[in-house]
Parts: sequence; structure tokens; C-alpha cells
Amino acid sequence: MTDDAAKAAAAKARDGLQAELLKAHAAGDGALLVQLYTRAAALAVAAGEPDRAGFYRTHAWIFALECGHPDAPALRAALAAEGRVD
Amino acid sequence: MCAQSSLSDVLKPIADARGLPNDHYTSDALYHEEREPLWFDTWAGLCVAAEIPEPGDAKPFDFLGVPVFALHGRDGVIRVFQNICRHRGMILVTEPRKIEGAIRCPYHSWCYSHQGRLVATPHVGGQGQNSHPDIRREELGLIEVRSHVWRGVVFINLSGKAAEFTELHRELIARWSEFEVPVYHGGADSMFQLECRTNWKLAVENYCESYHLPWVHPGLNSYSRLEDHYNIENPGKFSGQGTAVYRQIKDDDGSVFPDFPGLSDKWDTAGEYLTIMPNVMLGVQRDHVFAIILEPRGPRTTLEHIHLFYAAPDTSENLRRKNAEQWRLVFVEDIGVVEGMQAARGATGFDGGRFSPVMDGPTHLFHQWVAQRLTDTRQAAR
Ligand code: FES
Ligand SMILES: [Fe+2]
Repeated sequence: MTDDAAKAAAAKARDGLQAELLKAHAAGDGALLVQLYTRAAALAVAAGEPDRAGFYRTHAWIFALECGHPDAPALRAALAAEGRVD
Repeated sequence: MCAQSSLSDVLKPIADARGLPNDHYTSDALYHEEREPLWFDTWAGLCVAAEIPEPGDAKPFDFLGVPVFALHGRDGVIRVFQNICRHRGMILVTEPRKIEGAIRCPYHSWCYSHQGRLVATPHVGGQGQNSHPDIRREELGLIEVRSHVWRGVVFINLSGKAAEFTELHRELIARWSEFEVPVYHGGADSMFQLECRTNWKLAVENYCESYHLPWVHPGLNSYSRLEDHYNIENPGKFSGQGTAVYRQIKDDDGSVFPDFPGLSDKWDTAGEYLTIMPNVMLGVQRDHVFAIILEPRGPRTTLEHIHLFYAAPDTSENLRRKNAEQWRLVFVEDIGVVEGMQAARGATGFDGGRFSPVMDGPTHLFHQWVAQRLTDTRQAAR
């Protein structure tokens, strides 16, 4: 894939995710929000944007806390490893 | 502020005493003045545990203008918190709901555990930075309100200044020790509300005495005569009445509710009806007990929350409905008089009225409790 094609694919993935996130927020679906924000964080990591990743992972963690999701401790640990929470 | 207040007349012995002056039933200022001495500094009823039956159940309440919520924690403990976020003071729980995990503030998503600990402060140190040295989470937990569950009722002491519930109400707990067994709320068919256009104190006063029974509840008194009733008076704590002729309600097929286990013979036909000051009115009989929690909504409106409890978790629904309806009719009969007394509190010539030295002891005791606590607070403020 060319650089431009890769960028276009990433932008498309991001737009799709954005739409799914809005739907999950509207539905108040906590488990889905955890999943989607986790995916958003992974995309940001792949794109070499660690701060965006930290932002999304924070959201995944908060929604995991709220719904008692089993991923909450791991998300917190990941944030702590990056110095994003102590 | 309250020129016509003459609390010293209320504090006289019953033979000479007068009741609380009119403005104690109508004035916003006095309603506000009552909050600390009568409500916050003692143990008041907030709700019943059956309103938050499952772990994770949360329910908000307006406690005399103080927003609080009760939470049935995942650890099984019922706790009450002031309903406010420690960040910018957003309300946390606005309707009864299930809180599976953390209590997340809807504003900036600070999260609290079921024990009230602050567990997350997202972006507090900037985007994606979830800690900041100046925001010490261990100092910013929810403000817990002291609570105690007794006989299915959740009591709170907002100021934290009262003696332990079990100490303050030692005599009452001893008096009803035979009823210290599990009680089972009858569920949705065994709770109802009545809204009364009256000051909360008139509901207490009416509940305390049996003088009105033959006049206001002729149906009830066709079998429960005045002479079968006795006064129960414990200054400063509780007062009310007892009956020696309680009769069990029967289903169409003649069946009755199961009795509480191990009751002595006295309770075959006895029933007792007490107000725990300020706002919980309890009734005990051999086969069911009830609690009425008064929720004041300003000086002129009171919501009565009525809850019926049984000796077993699986009583007959038909009989429960019948029983709830019977009590509802009795309490509705009382609404006429408590609203009538409230309406009359506009009469400028009224001097607080008098008490029958024989019949009105429990009512006078309640007036004295109110007057004494207000007097003490006013003196302390000087
Ligand atoms: S007010 Fe609650 S998080 Fe800001
Ligand atoms: Fe009555």
C-alpha cells in the first residue's frame, strides 16, 4: 500500500469508529464503549499518536469502571505504565 | 423572627400546657429552623431497605432540602451519601437506577466506588493525564451520611452528632425485642404513598393518640373501643398508643398471615403504634408490621410513605392486597383531620390549643420534644 492509501484507510476506519461511538453513547452501552474506545486507542497507537491513545484508553477505563467491566484493572494498569495515572 | 412563638407554654406540664403556636405549621422560617435540631441532629427515617433490594440499586432523596442517595453496595452494605460530586458539585444520582460499577459523575466523569472512594479523575492533569498532585483522591471521597437499618427502615443522622441508634433507642428496641426477627417487605403491593396538605408534625400528632379513633375511624372502632387502648410515652424518644384488641385480617377462605415466631401471649391480641421522633411511625402486630415514613415537602405538604412487612417472604398476595387496602382506608380517614388542622392554623385567635391530661399525653410529649430541641438550639445560638 502506498502511504496515501494507508492514510486514507486509517481515516476511513476512524470515521467508522466515530459513528459507532456516537451510537454507543446514545444507547448508553457501557460494554460497547469500552470495546470501541479500546479499539480507538489501538488505532492511535498504530498511527504513532500516543497522546490520542492515552485519551481514548482513559475513556475505555472510565466506562469500564462504570459498568463493572472486567477490563477495568488492565486498562488502569496500562495507563499507569504510561504514567497516566498513579 | 417568630414573635408569636411561646415555646415555654408548650414545655409546661400537660395540665397547663398549650400546643405549638400556629407559625410552627405555616412559616418557612420555622420550617428551616427545625431542620437541624429536629432532623439533622437525630436519627430520621429516609426510606426502607426494600426500595433498594439488590446490590447496585441506588435511589435519590430530597432530605429536607439536602440531596442524598441510598446505595445497596456490591458488598451488600446499604450506605447513604450526600448526592454531590466533590469536583464541581454536580448531582450524581437523579433517578432510581442500577449502578453496576463505579458511580460516574455525569459532568466530568470522576468516578466513586460503592464505598464512596474517589477512584478516577479522568484528564484531571490534562488530556489523558488522570492524576494531579494537587487532587488527592484519598481526601475527596463521597460525603457519607451516618445510617442505620432497623426493622427494614433506613435511618440517617445527617450531622453525625446523635448517639448510636441502638443506644438512643435502647428502650424501644427492648420494648419490641420479641419482634427482633426478620421482617419481609410485602413488595410492590405493600407500599403506597399519600400526599397530605399538612405540616408533618400534624401527621405525627394524630398518629400518636387514640382519642380520635371512635370519631374518625368508626369502622376500626366497632371492634377497637377507646378503653382498649393505652398510651405509650417515652420522653424525648418515642410516643404513641397500644391496643389490647388487635384482630387478624382474614382471607376469603378464612386463612391468616403467619405469625412472627416466638411471640408471647400478650401479642395474641395486642398491637402497638409508635412514632420514633421525628418522622417514622411504626406499628407492630402478631402477623404484620408497618412503617410510615413522613417526607416533608415544605411547611404545608407532607408525603406519607407506607410500607407493610410480614413474617415470611411468601405470603398470600390476595391477603396482602386486602391488608394494604384496609390500612389505606384508615390512613385516608386521617388525612381529613390533619388537613383540617392545617387549614385552621391560619386562625389568628388560636393559642396552640389544650391537651386532655388523660388522652393527649403522647401528643403533648411530641410537642415537648419539638419545643425543647428548638429552645436548646436557640439558647446555644445566643
Ligand atoms: S462535577 Fe463531577 S466530575 Fe466534575
Ligand atoms: Fe387515625
